[in-house]
Amino acid sequence: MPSRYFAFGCSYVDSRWGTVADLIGANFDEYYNAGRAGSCNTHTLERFIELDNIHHFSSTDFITIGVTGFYRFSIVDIENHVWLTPGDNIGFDNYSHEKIKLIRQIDNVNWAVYRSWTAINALSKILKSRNIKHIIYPSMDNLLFLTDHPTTDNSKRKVHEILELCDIQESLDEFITENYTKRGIDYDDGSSDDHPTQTQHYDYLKKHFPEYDTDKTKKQFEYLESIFTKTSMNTQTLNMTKYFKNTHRKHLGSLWTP
Amino acid sequence: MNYHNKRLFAFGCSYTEYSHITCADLIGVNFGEYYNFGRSGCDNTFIANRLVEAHNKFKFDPKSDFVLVGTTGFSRFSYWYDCNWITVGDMLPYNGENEQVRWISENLYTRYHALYRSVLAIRTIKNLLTALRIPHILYPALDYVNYLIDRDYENIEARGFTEIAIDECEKIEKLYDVQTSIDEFLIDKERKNIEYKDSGHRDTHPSPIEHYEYMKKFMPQFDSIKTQQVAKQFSRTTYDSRKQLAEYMDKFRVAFRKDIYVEEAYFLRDYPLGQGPYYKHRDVL
Repeated sequence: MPSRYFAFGCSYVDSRWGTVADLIGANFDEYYNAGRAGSCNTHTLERFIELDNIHHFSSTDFITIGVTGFYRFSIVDIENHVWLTPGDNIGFDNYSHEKIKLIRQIDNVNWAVYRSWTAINALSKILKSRNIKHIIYPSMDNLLFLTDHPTTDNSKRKVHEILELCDIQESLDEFITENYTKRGIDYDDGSSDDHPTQTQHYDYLKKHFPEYDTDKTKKQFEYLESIFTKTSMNTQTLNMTKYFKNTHRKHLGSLWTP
Repeated sequence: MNYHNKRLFAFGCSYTEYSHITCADLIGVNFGEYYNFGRSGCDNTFIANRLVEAHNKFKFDPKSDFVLVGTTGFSRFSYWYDCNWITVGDMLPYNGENEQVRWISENLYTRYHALYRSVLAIRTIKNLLTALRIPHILYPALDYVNYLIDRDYENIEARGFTEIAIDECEKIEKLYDVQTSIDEFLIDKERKNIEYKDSGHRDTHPSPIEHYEYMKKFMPQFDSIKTQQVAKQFSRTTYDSRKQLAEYMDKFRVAFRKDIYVEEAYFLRDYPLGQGPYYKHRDVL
């Protein structure tokens, strides 16, 4: 039976360049990446349930859940049959889609914590009860819900409970803040992307996923570096799709809204 | 089977917790401890989330617990706003008076998204209960088949559905332990709705006696003498007023249900829909 690895999360899982998941994936016969940039934790749960229905996860599989920002809400754009996953509902007020503006009018921090808490709880309970090898880790830093946001004491406790459900406590965000002076890439054409770089993903893996710091992982990293270009964001996006996503990942299957 | 030493946890919408007894209540009287988490007008995502919350608090045990989940209508959207859960029932289309809900219905929510959320919530419920090995019955309280009929692929675009969505929706029938909804069960029957003399209002929800008939047919293992006695006590279909029925119902709640609003059980709590002594422990966020 081929070894299978399924990765879930946001853009810290599926990005314009290699992520922790892409590096771990080198160690498995079949590697599936179900990350979606900007999606919320509820959507991660929904994708998990969808893929379980297609691939029937078993105790021989390995699954990672990268917990994303709490303040997100994913909705379907029916006209175009695509998901609208614009990321955090704060800090990015220039997002122009009308429906996102609408959801931001009713969203609030306590409901946001609730949605993430129930989603991560359900995932944790299902994975543990079915003896599926897994690691839940915080991709993004949600500590603002303990400090800056008007979160109630009860919601603050739930934020701590979410962190307790994680097998790794340090988020990628915190790791980068602690160990680097700069994050992201400045492209030659003037565009930029402040997501963690491939090197930062690799260093995070070395610290928190040492079991997967293998020769295969090192080769995967070297390959990802070889196809990386700073020319422009668009060129890198095309490179990543053509030379990695289409070649090194397995097709997810027939999802409702790809 | 003896349920006196067991706990029952019931989840659903107004077909589970209402101003009169429901199928869940008739089953619940047989258990040593009975917790009812139903909420009028909620969506299936709300039900799935309540299940997660309840398990987190009460630590479901396969040896001592039983879970009953009555899924609700698909075109619903529950959300937390201004320290209250907004659970208005079907909203695609929405004909009520809440301006915010109308705005969501007309501008934000779609049948496609509603279908997706419901099917995935029902799958989550079944997945979780199966993974935890908790004895359970998952049944469609409200009819969902109306979302599947008209399988006219020429109109899929117009309805905003794709083939895969309809196929996925049809597959959830296999997840149910009872396939027939209460709505379908009653469709060809002469209705026995509750009526109030003072207002002349006729409640279209299934009445206690209709809930009992459904339970007797599809979950006969719970049709005990105690259940029959309670069903008989609520067999009237005419009451002087809502208040009169509420008084009976409050007595039932105090006698048979455990308080679900125990300390720190839920972190998004709001004011109650009902106003009986049962609710006195509820507080606001």
